[in-house]
Amino acid sequence: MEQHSAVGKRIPHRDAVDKVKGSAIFTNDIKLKGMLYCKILRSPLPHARIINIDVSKAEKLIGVKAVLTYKDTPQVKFSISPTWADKLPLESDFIAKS
Amino acid sequence: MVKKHQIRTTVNGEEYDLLVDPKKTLLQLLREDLDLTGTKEGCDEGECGACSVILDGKVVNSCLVLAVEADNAEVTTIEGIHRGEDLHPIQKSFVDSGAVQCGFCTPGMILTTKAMLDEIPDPSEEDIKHYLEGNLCRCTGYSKIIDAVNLAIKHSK
Repeated sequence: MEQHSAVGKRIPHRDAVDKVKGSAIFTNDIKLKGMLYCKILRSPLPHARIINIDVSKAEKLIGVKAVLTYKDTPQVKFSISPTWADKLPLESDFIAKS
Repeated sequence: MVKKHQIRTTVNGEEYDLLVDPKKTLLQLLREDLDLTGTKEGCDEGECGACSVILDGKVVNSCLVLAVEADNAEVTTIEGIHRGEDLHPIQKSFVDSGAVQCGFCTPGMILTTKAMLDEIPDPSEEDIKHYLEGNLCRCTGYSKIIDAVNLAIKHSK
């Protein structure tokens, strides 16, 4: 039989040992110097039209470096799955939770 | 200003004197203050078991335990169970059984298994399922995890 490098062989999961020891670093485990933290404000209503988002008070809070709304993101629709097809990164005017 | 509490706790065999905010969870204390990031934050509401640690011999969701409750107690996290360079037999069984995929639930699964085997050295299939029901895994479909637990039991005999 032809010899293969992987087929028919027992190949250990490459990072299984780090994972069982708890030393594998996941995104949430990374701490960088001067790292900023983000908080997402979700719509309190399941089905609504956005008239305006007033960020002036939020921007004045101590320690707040930036407040981002749809106005700060490119108005390019994209998709991560069929259910979420043709979505903007942040909603601009209409919220409908599916 | 909230008054901080002085606690003395043993984590993975090492004694710590700590000043903690009374609102801080044991999970936050481990991850943020002690840099023990092997304990994972999944749901942060006691559903998923990713934050499981052993507190005085019992497995707990560290997101639901306040740090001050660890005063005069002994905590074991995933970083504390291997023996020097060698993996703990349960850790080795998880590697050998292919029970690790993304790895996010793995520390909790291993610690729950350890707490179970410390209490019941020869658990039945039902015991295993009962103990592990608080630990969710979204990758493996659980069968490899059960295999790993059975392999660990075999090794410990």
